[in-house]
Amino acid sequence: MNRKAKLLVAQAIVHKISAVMQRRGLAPVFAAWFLTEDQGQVWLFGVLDQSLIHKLEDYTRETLLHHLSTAIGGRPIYLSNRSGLRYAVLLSKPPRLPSKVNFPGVQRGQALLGQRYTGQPLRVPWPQLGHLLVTGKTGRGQI
Amino acid sequence: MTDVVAQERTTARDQTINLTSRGVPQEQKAARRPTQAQARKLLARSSQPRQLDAGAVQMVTPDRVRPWLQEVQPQALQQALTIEGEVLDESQS
Repeated sequence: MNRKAKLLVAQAIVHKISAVMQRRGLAPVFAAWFLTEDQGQVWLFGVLDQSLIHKLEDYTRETLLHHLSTAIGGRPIYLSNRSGLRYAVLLSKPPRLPSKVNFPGVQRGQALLGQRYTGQPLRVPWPQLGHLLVTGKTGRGQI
Repeated sequence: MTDVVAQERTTARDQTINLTSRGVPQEQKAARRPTQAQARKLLARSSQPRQLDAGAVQMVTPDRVRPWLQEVQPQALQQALTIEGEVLDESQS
């Protein structure tokens, strides 16, 4: 998806979210919308203006987030509330961890710990590793 | 010396004021306050020009919203792991 297409999709989502909020009797008091792409994930952030919100809990209810998510085709919506209040919509496919990772081999000076959800190897230089705790369900190969 | 008629008129006016405003129970006064506040808020909202283009989406680099990403990316990953775990458990049972 190119930049223009992403913006169009984001714009459509903004309108749907605002419409659902209005139907539920909530003013869509968004101060701004930001679209960004990071590690293959496309995120849309709707920044709510808290000075215009009478009851904060009305905007953070699980049922509202579920309703909004349904209205935008099941795309997940997350709350981002560190210093402020935002809705974060994941426009790209949700991240997935591989069910199987091939043994990465041995690399001098590096501890190869596995694979990130982006597909990149997760490695740490031995001097920086410190303590390591391996956990997992029984039979999941933690040895 | 105070004019008695004028004094009576003043007293009557004051009593009328008492009956119409000061006589309202506390609960009703309190109930009216949020409504006035809401009206002021609505008025202020309609006069804010930035609300008109708040629907516009701005494309930004990930570094500009890094703290927000760091907050929501683990949530997305956690959800993906939970769903995958449930699928795995179902296939094993």
